[in-house]
Amino acid sequence: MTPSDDRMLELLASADPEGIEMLYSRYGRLAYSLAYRVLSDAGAAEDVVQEAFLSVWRRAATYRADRGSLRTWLCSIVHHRALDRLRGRSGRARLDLPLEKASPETDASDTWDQVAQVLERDQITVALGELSAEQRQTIELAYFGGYSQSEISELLRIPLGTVKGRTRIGLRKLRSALEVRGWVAQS
Amino acid sequence: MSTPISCGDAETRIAAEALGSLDAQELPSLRAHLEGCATCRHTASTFASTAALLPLSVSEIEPPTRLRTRLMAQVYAEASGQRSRSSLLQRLWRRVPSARAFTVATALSTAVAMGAIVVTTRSSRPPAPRSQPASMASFSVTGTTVQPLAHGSVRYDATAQQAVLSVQGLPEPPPAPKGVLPSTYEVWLIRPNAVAVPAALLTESPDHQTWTAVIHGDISRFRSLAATLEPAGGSSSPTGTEVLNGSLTAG
Repeated sequence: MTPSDDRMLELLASADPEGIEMLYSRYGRLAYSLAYRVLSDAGAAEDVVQEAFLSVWRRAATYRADRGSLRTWLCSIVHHRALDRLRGRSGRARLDLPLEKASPETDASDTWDQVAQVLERDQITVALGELSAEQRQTIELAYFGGYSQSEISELLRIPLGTVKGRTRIGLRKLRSALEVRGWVAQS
Repeated sequence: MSTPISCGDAETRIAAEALGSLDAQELPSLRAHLEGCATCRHTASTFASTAALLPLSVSEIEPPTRLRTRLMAQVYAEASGQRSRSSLLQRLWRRVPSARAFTVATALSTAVAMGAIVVTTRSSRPPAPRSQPASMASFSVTGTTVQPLAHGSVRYDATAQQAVLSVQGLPEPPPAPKGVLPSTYEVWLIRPNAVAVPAALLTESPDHQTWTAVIHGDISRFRSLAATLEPAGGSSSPTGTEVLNGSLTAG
């Protein structure tokens, strides 16, 4: 967690609305962009983002550092809610696993935080570029399209085994690409 | 009881789960495997951390101002409600020192009773169905020979009488001559008698990855859906090349 995460958590834990103000200022655009990418609907994206931030506001006390940074936690909530909305269900069973420790991040000031985000954005974009078009497509259909592996198999008219292989190898390659450049810790 | 799986199979399922695409029936065996395999738990953590970076790959778009306004209005309302409740309790506490024990006991027994009611209610409520609610239906759409890479889906909410068409793999319409507006993709609902009814225009997402359209009304009366390339603003009947189609009938 960054020092700025600590400050936001402090405010959220004491039910100070300034905590949500800070969180929204920092990650509102990212959250909305993610929701819109999944839902392709501005109104639905707004609803999901509002629900996600309110969820953080109400459940700040349940936050665990082993879930990753506040950004990771928030994006995870946005992503799950967007997928649930896309699929028209109230929720599905998921694994609840701790994430590895986040890599050390930069200084607390907003400027450096923005620079760090831009760098991370470049990193993931470059890393995704190392995947084959098919692997990237499979990952995007899964993560942003909300399709299950069976649905992807049906959509693309390819064997389910091929979808599973592309997903596993694609995610492994993505991880390696990030590790090799020192952008995430070696696993 | 779930069938045991190998670490290789587990890794495949872990990758899918990290992306949110694991088929539901595969989750129990994955859970069971992870309970007994520290190596795979580490893999799960690694894959989840990797997937958690994917939001950064999305092109950022500015949310509408009203979103912050709505959110903060709700947050401040809840914060103010909490402060009111806590100050009310503090006032009661100060006013009735002799009844503090009674107050605490009453609060505790009320909480326990409410908890029992909640537990009872939850246990008597039937489990949520795993399958899609009856009011929701999904159909796939595929590109024609003109646009073979196009693919997508229609998700229809019969209760809300609204369908969302989402398409990937469709290129931007060809550039138009100077002074002419570019063509647009128009969506049609096809009646059983083959008459095409204009339904919507596809809108491209800011990151150029997805085209979407929202269709209002009861689509169950139509046999299929199609999209064609039309002049800017659309047409009253199809004039252009069909790029996409899909059946709207179940099975």
